[in-house]
Amino acid sequence: MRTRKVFVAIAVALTAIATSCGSSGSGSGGGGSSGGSVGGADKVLRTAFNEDVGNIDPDNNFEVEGLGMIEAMYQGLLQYAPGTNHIEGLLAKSWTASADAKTFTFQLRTGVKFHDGSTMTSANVKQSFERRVHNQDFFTGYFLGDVKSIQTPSPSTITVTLNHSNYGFLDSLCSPWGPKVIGPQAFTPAHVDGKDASKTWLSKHEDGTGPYVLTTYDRGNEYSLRRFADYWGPKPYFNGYDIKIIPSLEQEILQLRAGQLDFVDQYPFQQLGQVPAPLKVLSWNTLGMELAIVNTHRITNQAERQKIAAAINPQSWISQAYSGYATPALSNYAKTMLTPTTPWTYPQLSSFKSVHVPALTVAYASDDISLQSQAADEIIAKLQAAGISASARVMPTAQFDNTAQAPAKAPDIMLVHFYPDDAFPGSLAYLVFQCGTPLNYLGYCNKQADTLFNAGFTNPSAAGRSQQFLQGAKLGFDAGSFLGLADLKDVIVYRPGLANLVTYPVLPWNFNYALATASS
Amino acid sequence: MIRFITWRLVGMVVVILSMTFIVFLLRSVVPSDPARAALGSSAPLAAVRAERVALGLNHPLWQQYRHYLGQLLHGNLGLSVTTLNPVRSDIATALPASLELLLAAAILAIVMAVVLATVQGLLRGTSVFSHAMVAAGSAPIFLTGLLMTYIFWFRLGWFPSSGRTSIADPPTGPTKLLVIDGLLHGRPGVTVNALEHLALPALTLALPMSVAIGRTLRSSIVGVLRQDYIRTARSKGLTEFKILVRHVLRNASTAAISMTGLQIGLLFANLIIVEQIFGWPGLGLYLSEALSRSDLNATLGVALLFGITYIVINALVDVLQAVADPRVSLE
Repeated sequence: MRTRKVFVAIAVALTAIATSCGSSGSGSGGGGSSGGSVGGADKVLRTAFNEDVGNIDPDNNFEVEGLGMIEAMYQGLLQYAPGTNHIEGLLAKSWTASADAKTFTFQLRTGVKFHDGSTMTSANVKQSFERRVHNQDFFTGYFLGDVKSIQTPSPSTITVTLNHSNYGFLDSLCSPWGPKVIGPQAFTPAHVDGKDASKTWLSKHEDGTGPYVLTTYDRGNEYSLRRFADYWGPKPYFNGYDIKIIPSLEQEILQLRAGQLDFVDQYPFQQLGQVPAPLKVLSWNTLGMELAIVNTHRITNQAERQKIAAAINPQSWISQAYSGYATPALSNYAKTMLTPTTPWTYPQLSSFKSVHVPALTVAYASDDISLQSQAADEIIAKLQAAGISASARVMPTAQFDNTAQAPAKAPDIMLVHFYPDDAFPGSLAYLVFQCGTPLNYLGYCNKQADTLFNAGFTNPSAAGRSQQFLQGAKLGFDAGSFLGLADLKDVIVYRPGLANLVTYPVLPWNFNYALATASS
Repeated sequence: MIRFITWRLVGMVVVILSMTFIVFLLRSVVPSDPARAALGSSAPLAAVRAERVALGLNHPLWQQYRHYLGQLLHGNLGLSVTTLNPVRSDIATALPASLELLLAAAILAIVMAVVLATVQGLLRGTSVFSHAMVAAGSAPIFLTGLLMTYIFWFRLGWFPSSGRTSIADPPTGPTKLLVIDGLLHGRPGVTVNALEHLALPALTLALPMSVAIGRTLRSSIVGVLRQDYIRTARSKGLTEFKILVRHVLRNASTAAISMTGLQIGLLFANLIIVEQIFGWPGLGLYLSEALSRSDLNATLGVALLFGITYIVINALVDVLQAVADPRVSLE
């Protein structure tokens, strides 16, 4: 009896503690500032990365979350205009392209300073580009894999000549993973260190031209950026960014709600409907594309693949699966990249009643669980409703990436979310759709489609290129191999007071750090 | 005793060698391509093939193991494809944070275990306190961690939620343990701040360990309390507390020491989860990132370190048991 009374007393006490201090719903948070204006008195924005940056070498990473930070430190010759895929100059103030799209000449801005204080010339640009050209084993070496020569006729002029025509070359220079101009600090003999090619130094140091300088690199803990006093462009509003590493998404959300962070990305779609006031949600369409890839080596019968396609038609379930932050795909390209005149339609299930499909596995990568698990569940439910038995399988990412080596042993369906390198449709074709390409996970190969894609790269007519890329991808769709499911939106949740969060279709999860301001 | 210790050390070396072989085998059979992981998903196939040759993956397995062992003996754990640093230096960077957390958790666990066992022993039965401890220690550790954060930081504001320190320029040596370095540098604020940040993650880690050790210790205490020499001690007029400290604890400690050794393995496993929840920049966080990026060298380097540490600690536990109970070394 006495024990029971004590239990009840403890339970009451714990309940009182849990509901005290901020019973209105938002916590007070422990330590540090809690709330106040965004950026605080020192105008430094605070955010967090869910996963630590691998390294900040602009030539040797495929960072996504850390892109905002890298884009704040480094710049390339070109960029897309805010919110668009329209190319405009960045470190290049103007440019010309030969009619055959093999030779590109850029007039550089003058008076641009690197963070080490030196002034940018065409020699620096050439040195930076050649780093990728000569190191094709770098993650992003392939961006300049077809470069024949780089000439610097004057300190403010640089000419790049390719081996083959490429009407997407200018777009590749706008890519967040595209070639950046790196300052001379990275190329001192000590930092180059022979065959290391500055990989070690650039993995944790920087020498860019961007509006922010890296002032703290504490891997696993935090990074800090501060305004570059000699930046050539407009002075950013915020003095800097402090970026913590918080692997737990729950922690990030709590810290945002407690006012210890000013914005976070990767907020779970399912929770966006319950974002507490006064937090705000910014969403935008990127070039990201959700695709289902059907294994033609295991499901060799086209009628079976078309029945699968008919069953998983995204029209009825995509919006719900992503809590309204996705729309059914119009083709195998994101609508911000390329839109067909008439949206592609999935086959009708009624046409395949007599077709029997064996049990299927639907796989996705382990580091995509939060994005893909809901979609996988919906797809399995739709397949089962169509009389097709299916189960989900989560694969380690490296194993997922390796399926092209042995597609006959790979899963039947793979769910993938691709962010292409840039807005040129060929960037999706040469990475995903073409025969033998690195991200053609299940090894689908259609020579006719490849012919169309290759023609698209060298077609001088923009309309003609678009048609060829669409026709090539349509062949994969009609074969039931590549099935465009959804255009997903990227989302940032932020505290009120932040304004002018400029986003780009090509830039996932991030906004332009230099253009953000505080609302009055 | 010396012979006992010698045999334990020899056994330890044999187990460590076996473990390196298992770790190497794991590296070989994992269904991912280290060359692809090193170059990224978009690398051309020709580059991937060249990388496989550069990594020696085209050699026979026994040659690869011989090379691997040779590298290990020189302390070379390979290069991390994530950070592009030698895994050895990444581990050296992350180790102090984990060490500080593990030490804090271990000390806290032992203290809580002794308190739990003593209270239960003195009360001669289970109490509300022990029920609460068992409940807290049995909950999944990720749940405990999140609850700790929610209650003690978000609601009460008593402790920070994540990170190792909020001091902008903490001392970077000589021990790299902030609690100690703060004192050595005459900056008690650093020590206090470090202790504040340690509180929640250390408590989260310590709870399950303290319950396991405490219950084992309590069972042993109950058994020892029934012995004739305890009745003799009471009849001599000693207080219960003095009996407990002078006569009971040492005799009851053998099983608890053994349990502590076993719990060390669980501590390493829980470390990965706790460091993720609290954003603690240690080996657990490094390992979880390496796993998500399929960084095999980093993953296996940390696994090797944990394994060797576990083996060494258990060897020490065996020796401690022999010291506590000389009968063990004579068996």
